[in-house]
Amino acid sequence: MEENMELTAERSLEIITEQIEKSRQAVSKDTGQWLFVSGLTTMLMSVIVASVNLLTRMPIAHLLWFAFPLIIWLVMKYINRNRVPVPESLVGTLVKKTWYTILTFALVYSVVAVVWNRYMVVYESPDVYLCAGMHITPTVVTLLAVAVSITGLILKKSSLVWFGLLSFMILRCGFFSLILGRLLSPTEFGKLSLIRPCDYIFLFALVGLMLPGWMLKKQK
Amino acid sequence: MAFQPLDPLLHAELRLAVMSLLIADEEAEFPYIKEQTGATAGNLSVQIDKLSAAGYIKVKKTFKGKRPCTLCRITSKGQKAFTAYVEALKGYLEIKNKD
Repeated sequence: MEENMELTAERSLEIITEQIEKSRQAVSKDTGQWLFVSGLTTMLMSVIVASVNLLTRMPIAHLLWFAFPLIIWLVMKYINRNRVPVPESLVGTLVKKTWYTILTFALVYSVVAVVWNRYMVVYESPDVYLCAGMHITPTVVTLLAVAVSITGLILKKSSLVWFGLLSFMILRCGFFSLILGRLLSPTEFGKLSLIRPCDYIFLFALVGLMLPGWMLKKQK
Repeated sequence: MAFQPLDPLLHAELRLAVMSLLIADEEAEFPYIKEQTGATAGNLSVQIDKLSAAGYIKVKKTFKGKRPCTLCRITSKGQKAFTAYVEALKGYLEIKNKD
């Protein structure tokens, strides 16, 4: 851009609109990168957790999920080490605060649920546990799907809103279990309990995080 | 209808682009502004100095690790000037639309 004093009013308006739009696009791409990397890391993590559970025949590897926020943070720090940082903007701050809030809810809920469910298993009967146990995966998936859709609304990317809704519907309406139930024999389906809910988390990471992230990243 | 005069400091492509970026983003690093405006480092530096001398933006030179980092932030004077520029611009566009 060169200095041009012959600027018309239309061109001035064009420059202002263009730069504000560029700022939104920068936030959009940054969010895309974040979603894409989070999705990939989540998919990898669910494979690791499922494999460890299968090998040890105990659901002990689920505790690894608590290290997950730290893993994502480290991966993002490594990927962004040479990138020009996207500055703080109203849109960026809104997206960031939405995710911080939702992730805090998810983390607090998960911690409380683990303690609560442990108490239920030790001190209560299976019937009480069935009624009063806290379900971590469906709740966390719902929260994250809502976060994806809100991000889409803030960034004015309708595809992101639909991806959030789609991932929520696939996992919460039992479509995935229905398909697996049809494809697998009852014995094979029963064996899945060892890797559950890693299969759900893997699918959510693919549909709700990685794919929309990739789309945002690739936009021009 | 009398035209509002357009601030000559803002009525230049690159300076206007920088101000528009800083209106959207609270604070931006020099490489980011360079990337978004597509300007050369030298030209951008000159225009940033002009905006800074007018008190429209605040330039802070810090370090990020061992690398120098130039941060630009719009001031309240800059925000007012930008608002006045947009208001004046509206007048020109309204007249043109009526024609």
